Amino acid sequence: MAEVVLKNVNKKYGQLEAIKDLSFLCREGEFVVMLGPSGAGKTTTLKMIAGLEKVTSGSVFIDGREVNDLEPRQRNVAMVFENYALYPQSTVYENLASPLRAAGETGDVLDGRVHQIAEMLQIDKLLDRKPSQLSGGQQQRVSFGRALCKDAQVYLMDEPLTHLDAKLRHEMRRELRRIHGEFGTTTLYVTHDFREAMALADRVIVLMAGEVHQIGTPSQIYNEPANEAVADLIGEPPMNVIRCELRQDSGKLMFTSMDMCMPVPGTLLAAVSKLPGKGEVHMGIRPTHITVYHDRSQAGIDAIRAEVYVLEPLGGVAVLTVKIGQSLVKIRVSDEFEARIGDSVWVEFAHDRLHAFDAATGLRVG
Amino acid sequence: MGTVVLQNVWKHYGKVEAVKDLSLTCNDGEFLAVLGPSGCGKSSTLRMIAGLEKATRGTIAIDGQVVNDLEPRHRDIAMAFEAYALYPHLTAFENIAFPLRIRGASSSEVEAKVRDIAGILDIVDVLDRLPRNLSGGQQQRISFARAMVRSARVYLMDEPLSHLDAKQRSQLRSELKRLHQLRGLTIVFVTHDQIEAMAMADRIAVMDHGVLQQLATPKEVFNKPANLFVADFVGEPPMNLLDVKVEMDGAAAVLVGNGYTIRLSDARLVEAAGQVAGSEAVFGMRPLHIQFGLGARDDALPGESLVRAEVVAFEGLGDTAVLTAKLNGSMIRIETAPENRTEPGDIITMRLNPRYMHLFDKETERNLFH
Repeated sequence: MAEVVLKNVNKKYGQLEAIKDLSFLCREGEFVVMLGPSGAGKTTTLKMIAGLEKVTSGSVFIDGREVNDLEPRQRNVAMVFENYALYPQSTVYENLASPLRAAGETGDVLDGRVHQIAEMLQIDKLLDRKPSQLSGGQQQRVSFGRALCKDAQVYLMDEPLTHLDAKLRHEMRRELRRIHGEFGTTTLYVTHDFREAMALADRVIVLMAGEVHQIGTPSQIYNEPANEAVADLIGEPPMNVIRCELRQDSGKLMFTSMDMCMPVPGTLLAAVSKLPGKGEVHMGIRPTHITVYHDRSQAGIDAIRAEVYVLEPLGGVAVLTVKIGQSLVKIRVSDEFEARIGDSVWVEFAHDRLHAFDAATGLRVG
Repeated sequence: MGTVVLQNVWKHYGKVEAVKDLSLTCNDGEFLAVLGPSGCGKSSTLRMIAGLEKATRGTIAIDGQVVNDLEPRHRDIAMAFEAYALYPHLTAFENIAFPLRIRGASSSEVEAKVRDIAGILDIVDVLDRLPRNLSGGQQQRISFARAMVRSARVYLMDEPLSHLDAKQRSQLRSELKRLHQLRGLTIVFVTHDQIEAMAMADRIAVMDHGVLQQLATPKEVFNKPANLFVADFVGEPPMNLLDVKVEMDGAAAVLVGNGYTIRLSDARLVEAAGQVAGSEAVFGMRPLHIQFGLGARDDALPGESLVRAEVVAFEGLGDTAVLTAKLNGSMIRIETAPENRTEPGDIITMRLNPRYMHLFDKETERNLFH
């Protein structure tokens, strides 16, 4: 096992800067997920660690050693890709054994290791089969097994669950976490799916357009997003962001926009008052932290009137979109909730869940 | 007006029966989603309604008129497909205006209708651009606008949102549902994405292997799936399904699983389970519908079944969390709030509410409880 460090890494393809001054540390035994939309530079980063791409400048360290000029096979990393390349003509046993043979293992040691890993992955009853006789999920596990057989210091995984159906994806996600728990392998995992990042990671690196936006635990990424872009990447639907102005109203500082006026909660006052500019601010709140009422009398005094834009049931839950002034705001409601387009409703924001973003930079200030 | 009626429709491609004895109605002003995995016959169904394929047997009627032998252009339908073929040399505006112009609409009518649909789909600002200067999402909206701009009896759509990224997809989903509700359009929408079908449709026709499995509202499909296929296909995370043997014990029914039992006392369920007494069955519950408490408990409410399990994993996903628990050899998923965190090894008691239980006949795969 080993730690991975990237220091001021840049990657250019001609004029295009794919990675800009990327630095991070993946600790020994840590499960780090790189999360970002397509084109963020996630796979490029993984390939630079594996040695499949050269860094343009900066350094990659594995286990304290700079590996910039080392060949992939000298770096002692194992890579698992989205599509699992197994030898079709070989049995599961042979598919697992070949990386061990390549590393010089023979006889009982090799045999023992194959069986140990097959048991761990619950494919020990499939050792005699060919890949074509396996389900997609089983093939995926054999592919993991091959990576584990390499006994590498670092495991690199590039969207390995993308092509699995929902049920298998859930199973493999749990399985991956379990394998990591048992092997304690240093793992760098790339995905565009925030759920995978939340479920798997010890820490998440949010990468967009070649730049790190935030590094933190899943809970930090969800509860304390560094900026609007990170807030927008997490959640289905993601955080609502409403453009507001700050106004004084009878001694109280208020978030105001067309058709909306609500006091800035005490927890945000200090941060919001320091904002530069003409008092523009973006207010953020997640769809799950808003309550909606049909009747004004049930709602609190700070409730805001809104117009129903559309209601979409999603099985068990529903997403209600309402219009407040010019802003569309999404709210997670129970699927028992009923409303028609154009209905008036009252919405209440959980004050302790409000965020404020600097309107100019998008940075979260509180 | 636009009512589509399919009666005993079959579609053969050589020996392959793509659609088998399909009868369904899409009412005037209804949004009907045809949902199923690839190869289930949903696109063939749509193409037969459009007239792009001939039905091998059966009749297809629009507004009471049998259209089996009518050319597509005589059926008064509008189509939006996955691939958006825009005219590259025409601006977005002219692309949208095209179906109106070829029907001889006046320029003031064209102007008004294009502006109107562009406003709804949020593309007013890009109407002057050529397709090559538009993003994929914008092109998809233009293609959509072109399909929706003229009035037709029926709008047919085949996975029109599948090439968009998650954000654009959910945006356009909302807009399409609004458009449908505000204008009272008749829409038949084909998709493999259950979320899309649930979110937009008035009713969903679930298909598998060319056969209609269930035709019902999204809530019914989710809460009262007709059979094992529908139960398994709809819902994320998917429904928990456990192989059990059904045994009767006086006024109760006992579902005997691999090293655990689930005791049913609700009279309606006991009677239904009695139909397969002594036989194998599949017990089902959705992850969202399982309540649980920490520790071993015996305080069952009337009708409720308590089952103990051991926590294997707890995955926080932000807005929600998924707990996996071990019921002897079987795994159960529970969807819960992130605040209800438990640790691997914790013992929990699952509180199973009879209202949310499903029992599937192992042979017919029919849902015996709903």
